[in-house]
Amino acid sequence: MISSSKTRSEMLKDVMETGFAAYELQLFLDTHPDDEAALEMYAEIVRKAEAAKKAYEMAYGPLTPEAAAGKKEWTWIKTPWPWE
Amino acid sequence: MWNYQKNLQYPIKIKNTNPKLAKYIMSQYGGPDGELGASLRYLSQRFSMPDDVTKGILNDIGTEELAHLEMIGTIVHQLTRNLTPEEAEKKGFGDYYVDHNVAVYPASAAGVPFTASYLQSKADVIADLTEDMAADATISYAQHYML
Repeated sequence: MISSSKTRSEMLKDVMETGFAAYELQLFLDTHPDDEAALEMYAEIVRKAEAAKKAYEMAYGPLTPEAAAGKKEWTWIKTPWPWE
Repeated sequence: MWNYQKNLQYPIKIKNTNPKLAKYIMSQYGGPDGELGASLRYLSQRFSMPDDVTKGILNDIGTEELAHLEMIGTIVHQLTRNLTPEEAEKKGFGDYYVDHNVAVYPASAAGVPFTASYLQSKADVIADLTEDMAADATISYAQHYML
């Protein structure tokens, strides 16, 4: 486990911010597929989003079932649900 | 939240046009025992489930039903994509064609549009899971009557 000074909600906010930004850029690129600045921005934000997800999962458990693979117990259902 | 993955859960490649079959299969899309109702049922009921196992299974089955919805839509699309108006009329697809052409629309085989009254969500784990088991059993009827 990587030690982090960030709380769970802070790390989750990183995941949501980067994920939201990536998704909105995706929608922009759907209608502007040749926009070079947007393509660069998308690559950068996707990298940040992946890093944010990885950091969160190392500290607080899986965000997707795939991230729960390789453990001795099924942690996918052990962590809080987003509507809780 | 959900992320989209650009593949079907199981491959579908239909070459023949068959509007009559498309109408029957469409019920599995937006009919009373269809995948749209199934996914909305599980994804709505999950909020009031009492423990991790029931929340988890309804979350993940509800998600899988959306993948099923996409496969059924694909089947309907492939069965009708080359349909001519004349063939639609001749093969009993004319009434659907008038309203939706060859679009995929959530309705039953008889043309009744999808309605949320096909499902219930009750915050009662026994009532909800009993409905889920009843809903799950309808797939054998779909297979039996359609095929």
